[in-house]
Amino acid sequence: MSEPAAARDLRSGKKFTLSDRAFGMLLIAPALIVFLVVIAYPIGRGIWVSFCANKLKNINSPVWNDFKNYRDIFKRGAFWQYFGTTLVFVVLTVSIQVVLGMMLSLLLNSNIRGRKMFRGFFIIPWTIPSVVVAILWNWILQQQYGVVNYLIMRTGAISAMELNWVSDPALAMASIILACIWKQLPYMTVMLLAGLQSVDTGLVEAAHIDGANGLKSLWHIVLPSIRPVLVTCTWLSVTQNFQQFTIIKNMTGGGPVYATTTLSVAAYKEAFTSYNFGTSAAIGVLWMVFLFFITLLSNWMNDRYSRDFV
Amino acid sequence: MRTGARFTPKKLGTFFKYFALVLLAAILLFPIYWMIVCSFMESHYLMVIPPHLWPVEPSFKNYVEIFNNAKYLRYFQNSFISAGGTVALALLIAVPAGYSFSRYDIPGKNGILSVIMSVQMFPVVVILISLYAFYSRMKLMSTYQGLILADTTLVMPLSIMLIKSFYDTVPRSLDEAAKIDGAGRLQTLVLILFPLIAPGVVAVCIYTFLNAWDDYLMALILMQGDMKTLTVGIAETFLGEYCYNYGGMMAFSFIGSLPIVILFVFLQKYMIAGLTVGAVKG
Repeated sequence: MSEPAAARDLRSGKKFTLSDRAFGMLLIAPALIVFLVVIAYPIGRGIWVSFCANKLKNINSPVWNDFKNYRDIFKRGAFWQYFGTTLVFVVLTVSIQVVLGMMLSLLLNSNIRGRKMFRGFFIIPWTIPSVVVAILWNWILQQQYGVVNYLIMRTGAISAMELNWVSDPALAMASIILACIWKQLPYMTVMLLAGLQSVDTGLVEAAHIDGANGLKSLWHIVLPSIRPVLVTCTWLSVTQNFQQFTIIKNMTGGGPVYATTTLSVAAYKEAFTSYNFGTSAAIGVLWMVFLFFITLLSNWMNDRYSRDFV
Repeated sequence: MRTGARFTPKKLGTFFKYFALVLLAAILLFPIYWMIVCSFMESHYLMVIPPHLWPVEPSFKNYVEIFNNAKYLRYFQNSFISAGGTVALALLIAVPAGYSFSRYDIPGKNGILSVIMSVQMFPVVVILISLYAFYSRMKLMSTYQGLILADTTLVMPLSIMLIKSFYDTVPRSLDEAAKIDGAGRLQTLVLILFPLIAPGVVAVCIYTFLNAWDDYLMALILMQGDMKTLTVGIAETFLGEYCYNYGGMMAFSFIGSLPIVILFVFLQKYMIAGLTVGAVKG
């Protein structure tokens, strides 16, 4: 940036001969090297592999196979099934989480005592490792001795311990969504709460004096003010849940049959159960393309929204 | 209670708010309570209806069994080393990079930053396919270095952004003052700015440790035999030897969560500050 010429002279006369720009680049060099070696190169190679026959025996020498991987996953109709499952899982997990997180953070942001204590309690599930979350919820949702079935039975909705959570297609989806929301809700709440705490209270008070009720000021003042945080959190949650593997793998294993096989579980199984690296990479590439377009779309909508309101 | 105990709508609202908070806290924390309670019981006390909500004949038996198993202790050690290594590598990368992104005019800075941030969209499995081939060739399979490098990719984007936002909060006039006092650029970074972003560094440490500890997918593929990490070990025993031993399973799960929970209890303040600093600034 523009720095005083005097300061520049003062420094260049000293032992450092590196320009500021070169020094700055030097500092990001380790990050760039790691990025290139373990992210950019693997992704680039993954895109190439997606067009190749690549199994365990030729793991280091993929051979071009004329889009066979893509034709395969579309021909079996498998891709659309995985894709649909992923969308159901991601949309439900994220939307329920955003709504609950919003309610919880509004509650925490209201005039209460012990806010920090409550926030501290609410964040604990986030610190539990995903594998443990999966095993814990499997036990809670266990058919014969699980607490959830017991509670539902006590309310009289079912007459015996009969809900087989992880083996019924719809219930299996509900199980993984429940476990994921439990684990992720704290993060969402803390972020939204931070957003709420930065809202100008003067604006809310002014609206109150002008006769706006709580709901109105929430809709017209609070939500627009925290829109950037809300968008960031939602976006992070969407990408994160596209990646969700640990909880699904350890709760349902993608089953029953394919009921909870999302793109990430399918890509894993193709690669490391069937050792069809090419097919797995093809699933991954399609998923990247989808997220890329969603990002463009959301940026475009964001720009338009900002223009309308500025 | 000067106004007496009359119920005004406002008081009713306050009462309802606390009631909702306590209820929600109870619901969110119940699974953890249940994990702890079950971990102190023998399995046959768990296979009953109605469930015992308080431990019957509580004992440390499940825990003793785990600590007497050399294999499990080894998994613990592996997780500690890999997570600790990931923290160190992530800091080594993020502290200079965050400083540079905050202070220096680098060509294509915004482009580089958005590419680094977009890493989160890339399917981990696709990265793993190449790492698997690459690591086999380079003899990096089942090594700490290999897993540390792989785990670092998961945490690098957010670590750099967090550190950058912390540097952004330090006024530039401080750099200028240091410069006038004759401090070199590296000296300014290490002696003057680094202590000021210490809370951010702590936040990044916790964040990276937590993520590396939580990692399952990378470790599942890259670490075999006695190099397996704790998360993979827990998942495996759950499908194998602890299949019906719910008490043991819960004890193992609880021990697996404990390092993070302890970290959180002591460093909560930094963690929340670190998590939210970037978000609020946009």
